Amino acid sequence: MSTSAGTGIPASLIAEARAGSPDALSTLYREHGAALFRLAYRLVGGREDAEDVVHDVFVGLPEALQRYEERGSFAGWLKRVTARVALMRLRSGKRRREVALDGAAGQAEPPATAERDGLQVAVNRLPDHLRAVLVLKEIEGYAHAEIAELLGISEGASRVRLTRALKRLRNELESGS
Amino acid sequence: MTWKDELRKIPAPEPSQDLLKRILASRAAGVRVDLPAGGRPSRMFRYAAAAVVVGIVATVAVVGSHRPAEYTGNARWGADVGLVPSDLFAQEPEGRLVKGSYPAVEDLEAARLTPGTWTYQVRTIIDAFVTDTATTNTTTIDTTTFDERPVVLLTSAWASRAFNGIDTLIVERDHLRPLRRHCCGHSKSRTFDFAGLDVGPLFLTRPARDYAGTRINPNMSLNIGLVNLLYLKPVLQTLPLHDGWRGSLYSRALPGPWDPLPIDVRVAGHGSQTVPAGTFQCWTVRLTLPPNGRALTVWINRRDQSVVRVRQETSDGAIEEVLVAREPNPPAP
Repeated sequence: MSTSAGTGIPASLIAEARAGSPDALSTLYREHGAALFRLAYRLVGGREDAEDVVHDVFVGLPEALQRYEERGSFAGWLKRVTARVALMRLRSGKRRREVALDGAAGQAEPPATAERDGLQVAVNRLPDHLRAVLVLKEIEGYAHAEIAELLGISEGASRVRLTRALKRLRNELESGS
Repeated sequence: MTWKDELRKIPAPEPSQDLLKRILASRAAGVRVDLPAGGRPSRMFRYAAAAVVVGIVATVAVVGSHRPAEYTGNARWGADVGLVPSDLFAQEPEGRLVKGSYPAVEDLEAARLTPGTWTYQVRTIIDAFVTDTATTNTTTIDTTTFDERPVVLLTSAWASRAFNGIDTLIVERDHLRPLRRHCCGHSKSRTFDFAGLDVGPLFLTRPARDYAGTRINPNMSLNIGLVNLLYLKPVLQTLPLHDGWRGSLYSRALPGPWDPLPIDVRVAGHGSQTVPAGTFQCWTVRLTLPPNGRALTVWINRRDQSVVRVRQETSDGAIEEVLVAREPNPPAP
């Protein structure tokens, strides 16, 4: 089976997905959907929003593939697209989370065991702009240059945000709150 | 192992089993999403214009102003009605084409419309300080007859120190298709007759299979006034809401060639809400403008699906409309 140059994925599968084949989309979803959902979940901090992100990514994938140049890892490209969609949603959703919407949150959110985890609680308490950098750098392994491009900030700002995020995390964990 | 290593092991839930099914259903329904696949992300959020809020409540509105060149219809509408600037309703001829994110809502359940009167008060919240304003909005739903036909009479009346207005809509009882609308101020009131025109139930329209989308300025936001002006409260009452439900509305408030305004509707959860009229078990519903995800949050009574609270976020707080009184049986008109 031939693969597109360097993408790690069969060229025929990309071609079929580009043509909008439901089977090809299903195959790509089964292969990448869970990882993309985890990335989106960590960025937007909620299951519903993360599902919307993944939904939008796969619904828009055939058209987006028209612009995909088949260079580099397909999975990496897909992750960058997902991160961008998640960050767009994060920006719009930020204001929703800044105010107490009693009754608005808490539906089908992270499992209770995760909520009890002090580290996760501390990460969730980070402001969106700090959590995004932390997730992208420390969990997803992006370089500051990539994060800067994704967030539309300078590399320096990305470094500063990471430093602040780590400092806040450290303080949270040391205070035990 | 450091806590940085632990970061990578923070658990994340799995996506829902039906997510793939929803994706394929959206594709099959013609939903398309323009992904930000290349280049730097937009920084429009830093420069977005502040949403116009209060004026919209007191203004006769037309949703959409992008007139296709080929339109030759002769819909009867008041040409001198004060039109809201097109960008207020997110319609810009130069904007990119946008569709709803979810399958289009095609059927409203007319039987769900509950007669009653609901009175809302507008409040502003700035830096956590809540200020109740003198502005009120009253929504009334009643059943009656019009030209010997069974109809539902819908009114949306608002009152402030500076302005009083009432918007009345008569719709067929079975199909909710508009028959007559009369709105809105004293000297500028106009009557619109819709008989024989192709107007969807409660002004919703069904996009054609080849519908390319509506041109929308991505800087625009959904506005709290839309909930009253576009008869969204009765629309919300007739949706088959349940946990996880989602659908896209295409609203067109007057007949003619105007592009419909796509609004994504998603049930985000449920819980109790306490407002001046009491405590209600509610659906938490997000109304979102597809191109930018900016949302209104609406809490809807699970018993009769009436609106209990609407919240629009602003840069320094929020504007809310909260239910202050309700009467299940309104007086006869």
